[in-house]
Amino acid sequence: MANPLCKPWEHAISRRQWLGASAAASGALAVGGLGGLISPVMAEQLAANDKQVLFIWIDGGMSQYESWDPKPGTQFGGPYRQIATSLPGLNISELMPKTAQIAKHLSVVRSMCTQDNSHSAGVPRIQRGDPKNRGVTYPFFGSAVAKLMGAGSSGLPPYVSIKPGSGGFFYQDAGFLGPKYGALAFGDGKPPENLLRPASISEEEDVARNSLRATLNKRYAGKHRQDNADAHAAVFDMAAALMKRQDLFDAAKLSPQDVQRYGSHEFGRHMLLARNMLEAGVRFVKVTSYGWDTHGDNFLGHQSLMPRFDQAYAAIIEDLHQRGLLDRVLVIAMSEFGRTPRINGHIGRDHWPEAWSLALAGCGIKRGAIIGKTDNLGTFVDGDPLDIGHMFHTWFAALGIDSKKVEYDNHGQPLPIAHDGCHVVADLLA
Amino acid sequence: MVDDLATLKTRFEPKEGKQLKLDRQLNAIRFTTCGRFLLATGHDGTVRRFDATTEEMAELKPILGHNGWVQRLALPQPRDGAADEVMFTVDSWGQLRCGSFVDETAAPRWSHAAAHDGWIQDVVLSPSGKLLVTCGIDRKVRVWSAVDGVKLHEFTHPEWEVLCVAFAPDEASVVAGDLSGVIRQWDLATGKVTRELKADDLHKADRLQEVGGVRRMIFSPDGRQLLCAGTKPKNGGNVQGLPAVIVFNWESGQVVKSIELGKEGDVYVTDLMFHPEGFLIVTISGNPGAGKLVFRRIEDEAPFFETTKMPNCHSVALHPDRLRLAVVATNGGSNGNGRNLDKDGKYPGNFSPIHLWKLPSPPVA
Repeated sequence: MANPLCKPWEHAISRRQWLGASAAASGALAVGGLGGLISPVMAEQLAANDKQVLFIWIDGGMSQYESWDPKPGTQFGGPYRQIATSLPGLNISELMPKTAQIAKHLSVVRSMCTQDNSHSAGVPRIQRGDPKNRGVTYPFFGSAVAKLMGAGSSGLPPYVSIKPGSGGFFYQDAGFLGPKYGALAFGDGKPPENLLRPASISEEEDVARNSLRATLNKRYAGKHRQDNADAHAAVFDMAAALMKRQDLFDAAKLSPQDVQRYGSHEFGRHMLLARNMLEAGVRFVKVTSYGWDTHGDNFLGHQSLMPRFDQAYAAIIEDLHQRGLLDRVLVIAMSEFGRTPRINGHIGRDHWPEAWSLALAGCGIKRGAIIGKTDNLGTFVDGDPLDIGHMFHTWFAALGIDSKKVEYDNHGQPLPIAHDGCHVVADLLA
Repeated sequence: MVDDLATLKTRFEPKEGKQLKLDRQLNAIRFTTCGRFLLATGHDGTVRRFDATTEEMAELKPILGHNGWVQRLALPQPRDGAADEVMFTVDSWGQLRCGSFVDETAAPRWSHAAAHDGWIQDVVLSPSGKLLVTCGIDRKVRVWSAVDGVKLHEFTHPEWEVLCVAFAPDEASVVAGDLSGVIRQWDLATGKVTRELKADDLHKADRLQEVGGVRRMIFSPDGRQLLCAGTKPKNGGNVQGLPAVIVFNWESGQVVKSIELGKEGDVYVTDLMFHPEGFLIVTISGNPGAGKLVFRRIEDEAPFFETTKMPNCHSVALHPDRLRLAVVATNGGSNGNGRNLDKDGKYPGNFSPIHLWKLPSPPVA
């Protein structure tokens, strides 16, 4: 009998079997161009692909009990009830009444089982897709999409991040892909400071100084790593593109109805900005919400956290659907792990990577799938657990990227774009 | 002559007695006014009962019929020498129930399965015992007839997230403390809010989370002071803050004292009551392992007794004989990230031991 608690990375046999199959197919792969990032034709196809991503990162760990996988009336279930949704068979926490209405557009995964129970290890590993040790730092999903699919035709940066606190350019997200695939972060949803050309500088002067900058950049690039020079130039290009789209940040242009629907709180404002960024054609928009690490006072904490998440999340799914964008925007809502079944003395829940949930919607994703389940108490996955590697394969597939064929080229070293011991979750795909 | 702290400690310092072992976590605990039962509300939808007529304090069959968490309970005071043997209990699925605490098989005298839409945070009896007030996360405050459960008044406001309630001493108004640290007095005759008091220190907005709030509220025995308890929050998420009691002069509405009862990791005042001799008995719970039982007078600058022997204290009850005290705490090692299995390979839940304390007998006059 299989151990019900086994983890994907413990499946050494199946991985070896896969490697064997890979070896047998190596001739074919070589013919297909193993060495490049992707073949030029494929790269062109992906760049022309208009698919986009909204990645909602609930930092700290949303409780699966108080969201996607309630267990009311059980030992670890907490005080809340569950409610039915517009998706038959899916009950969620009563703290998500608006999401319940749009649930028919979603698919929910309840069998996530990952390795790390600390933020410091979990946050990067989850967002990098937990590739097995390849000796390089893998890119966050946003950087991966920026690299594989490019900016598209919008002229806007391919990977933007809307987050509380400070902004800037987060080159670290890109890992070995090189800094130019990092995230342009809008701190508190605001554009970078000094984005506009000061009135004291004429357009001619601006052109002249940009020409000088380009010359100096070339000189700099000649003496330094090309990656750094590329990143430097890329950031200026992003700024130039954003200067033309100041309207995206203009709060006066937002309809009061939208502000009310999304919420005037931080997350609501950021999700509304995300919608505008997606409509403007940004390839990958990440929205981060902080403050979910509810080791103490978890239940009254979720009492104010969840309704605000619920409000903005349901609003953007509804908007993307109504505007016909949901078919091309992949929406991912997740944390680095879930929260413990047991309730500690501070009436909090701690970190729990053993069995947690996430929600998907949109581009390439089947509507209405409920993938996996937990046991009656919600402690462990009942059935086959899914790792983050499975999600990366599935997300790439939803975006039209074959993760078994497309590879990165790290200075001649071919690297898989997702954990090669994992696979696409076919039941999640439309 | 006013006793000094050392004298008070000599007179009232309790000694630790036995622990009652339970398999689940508890919320609130109270001795019945007849002194025969100790009642505790559980995370498992039960009201646990213990025989308080003996030292053994044997567990009796629980009262069933609730769902989710049984959050709080209220008990009648004695009238004409005896109190009605009923309890008023509320749960997190919205049920309000009036039933016998003596006979676990008896049908409830009356109940409302949906007294509120969802989690009822508090239930309090009026001084006369005729009225009952409840508040829930549905942002409603409701007043009921304690006799037959008929709803008499309802107050609501879209911004109220009321966490605790009390009757004003004259019973003509109710007082509701909310998540934002506002206390509203609400006149029963007119249905109007007549006064708002501010305990702003008990609230902090931290990103998406409203943290803290007025968690417990009681009047002083003479009705001249209103005590609002909670934490002075530092942050949300893993909530940290100073456990605190804000004391208002009820007539003027002015804050007369802000009492801090610990350090940031101690976080919440979870329960408080007046000893008949006039000092406060307070429980505190914060970071896992942190917890206190505190005795202090409002007018003093420090407690005359406190103990940190019990992790995460959530409620306290004084027996009518004034010689016994019961504290709901939490097992040690209640927290931890990831899979922590017990020696049998099972995933353990936490539980709430009830710590029994003995207070000194008063000197014979």
